[in-house]
Amino acid sequence: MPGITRSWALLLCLIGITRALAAADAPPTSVRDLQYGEVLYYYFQQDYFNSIVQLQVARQQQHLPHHATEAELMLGGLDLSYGLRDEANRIFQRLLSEETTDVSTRNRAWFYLAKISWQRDDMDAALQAIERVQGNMSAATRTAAINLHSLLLLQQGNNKAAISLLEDTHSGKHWSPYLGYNLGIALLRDQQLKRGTKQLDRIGDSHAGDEELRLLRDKANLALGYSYLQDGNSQQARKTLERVRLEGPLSNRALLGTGWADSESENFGAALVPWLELSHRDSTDPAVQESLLAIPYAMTRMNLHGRAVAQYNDGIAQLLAERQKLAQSIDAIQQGDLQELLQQHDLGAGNGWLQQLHLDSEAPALRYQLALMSSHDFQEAVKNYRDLLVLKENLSTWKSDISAYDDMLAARQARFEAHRPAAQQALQGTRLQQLQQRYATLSGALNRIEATDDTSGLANPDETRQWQQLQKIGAQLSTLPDNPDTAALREKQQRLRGILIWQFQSDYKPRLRQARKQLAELETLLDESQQGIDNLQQADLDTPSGFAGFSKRITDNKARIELLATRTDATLLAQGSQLEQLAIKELEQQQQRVDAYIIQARFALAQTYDSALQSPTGEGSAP
Amino acid sequence: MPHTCHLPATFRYVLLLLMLCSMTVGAEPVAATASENASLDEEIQTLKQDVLALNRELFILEEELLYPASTQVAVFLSLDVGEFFSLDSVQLKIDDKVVSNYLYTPREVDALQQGGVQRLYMGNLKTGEHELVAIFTGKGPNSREYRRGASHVLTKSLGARFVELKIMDNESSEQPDFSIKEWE
Repeated sequence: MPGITRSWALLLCLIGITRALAAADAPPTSVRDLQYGEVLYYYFQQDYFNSIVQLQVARQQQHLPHHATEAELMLGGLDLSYGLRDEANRIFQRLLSEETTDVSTRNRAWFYLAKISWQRDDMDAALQAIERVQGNMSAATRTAAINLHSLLLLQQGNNKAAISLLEDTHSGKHWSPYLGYNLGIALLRDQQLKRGTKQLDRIGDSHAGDEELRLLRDKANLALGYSYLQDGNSQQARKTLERVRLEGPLSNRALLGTGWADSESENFGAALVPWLELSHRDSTDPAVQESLLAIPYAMTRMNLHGRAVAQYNDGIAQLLAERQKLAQSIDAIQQGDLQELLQQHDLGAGNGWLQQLHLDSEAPALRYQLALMSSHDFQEAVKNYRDLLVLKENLSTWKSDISAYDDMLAARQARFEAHRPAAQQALQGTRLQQLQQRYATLSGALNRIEATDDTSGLANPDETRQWQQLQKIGAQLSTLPDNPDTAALREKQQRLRGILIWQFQSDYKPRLRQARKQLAELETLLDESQQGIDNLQQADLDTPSGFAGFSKRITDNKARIELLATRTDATLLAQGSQLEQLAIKELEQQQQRVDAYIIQARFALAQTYDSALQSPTGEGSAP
Repeated sequence: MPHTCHLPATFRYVLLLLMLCSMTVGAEPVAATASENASLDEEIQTLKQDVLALNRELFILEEELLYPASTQVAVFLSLDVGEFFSLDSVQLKIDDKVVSNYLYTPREVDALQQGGVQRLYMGNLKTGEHELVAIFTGKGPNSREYRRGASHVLTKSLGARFVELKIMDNESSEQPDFSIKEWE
């Protein structure tokens, strides 16, 4: 049924308004540690479980040096989103107890604490916490805090305080249409009808850019329309209710109200138009059920007694059929169909999992899902049930994975044992020591060359050979008798010697730098080799005990998985049962309402028969 | 705001009856159920925390066992803005061997665009030089099919190495930029 599908998705949006507003700032997305970015990757997919796990792993491995405080605050927020209110509470209290915590973090911690108390229905604690949010803060935190504060005040019936809070905010940059809606409601509740009406009318007549805002606009128009009705202003009521979208999730209530506005104006023919449209819609909706009685009521007022009788009979038949369907749904839920259907959905879809439920809206156990999901308790129960299913799957995956760890450990152990003799031989060898000695000799020689400016000390092999030859030639020439030939040879030897010395001197500094650089590289290599040898020695000592440690951890965790799986199964059973009880309780209330409608319809039918008999037109003859 | 107050007297009677019914149906069992629900909620919270702690422990065990720091290499992927490139898939090769082929869902791309960083690959490499090649496939400017590669020579030493594949918008060329960065 496409109508249901659409309504379902939109209803979730409606539920989402408060949720979206109740969240303070999104976490900072400027990633300075890769692992923090990985946490965000899961967070933005609303996969809170993996987000928390990755955050805890990264913290334990000290991979979040740049995001320490943010990580703590984020963990609190993630815990809260994942339903771990008690743990989230501890984290925020701890953050507030630390003197080093900055104002921005304090504000967000107080905001979350208020939200936790609100979820626990502890209004006083929630108000105390939200009042502590003050001073400088981001626009998002300010808006979320004011929204929550105003909701708390409204819930306490303190309309004047809510109005004062919202009006103080009104002209600031933190203002949002949602706060405007809250202000409108607060004014109406405080009997400031003119101002409240103006406020809601502004939202109800606004251009809405996205679906959430369109939904808010519908809400404002619906609230305003019924306010006009209550005030006896049926014309304005009709005009306002007509602004609610015909295909929106609030359209049924708007159509019902539009009919009542016409009815109040004694325009019963006009009232039939929205009510007849409504009567063809999804009969699980109370507004549709009410239209089944409203239509013949209007006909009676138009003195169309015969048609009214037919409509009452038709309405009673539809309500009886509805009652039958409700009984079937209750029966299906009691048989475990609801749990079975919930288990069939893809758990990896995050919050999208809830939206998939409409796929089975024809199944008796899920036929009234719209009504069920409008209950906060039922929503929470479904979320918990889904979380438990995820835990069950998670444990089952680990159970399968960890069984392979023993094999991997054995393989590593075998590989280690195979390489160990060669490694031990390497450890016992003296090669590195010899290399270190050679390095020491070279280093000493270079120091001596530098200290004595021995430029020939850095000659290359060719130059050394030439130098030695020239030295040798010089020695030979010194033994020869003095004559012109010898003098020429001596001069040549001296010239060549001078060239070589000049070459040594001019190349000395670059060569010295080069030699130093090479020596430094050699030192690094030797250090790394030494580090490798040290690691090898350490590994030789540690690895056997490391294997034993791994083995123990694997064995311990296998036992933990088994225990947790047993606990999860038991808790899932209890949660499934609670879910069924909540669903059945809601459907039984629906049955009571349908029963009451049936009684009322039968009573009205009898009255209509009486009126028909007294009618002078004769239109009232029984069908 | 209850819409029922405008109903004619006959209908108001229906609602009054309903309210009476709902007030009288099992007031005591509701109280008992509330306490049961509270303890069930506490048990669910404790169980969730215990399973989270187990997962933390097992992730670390898995990493230490399968990817010891001496050989560990982790490759991450990030997306900055993404205006000129819509990511479909990434193929990662190390030393000419395909180690990862990843196809992204719209939900994952959205998480990357918002600032999330994905761990694309985790594995072991010996010390020394290794060539990383990443091939990105998706839609480029004007929704054209786009396939580009980036490569990097990684010198693996004894400690764990983290590498980031980055996709960024180049505002001046109105084209995406692909780069590979090593983290200390």
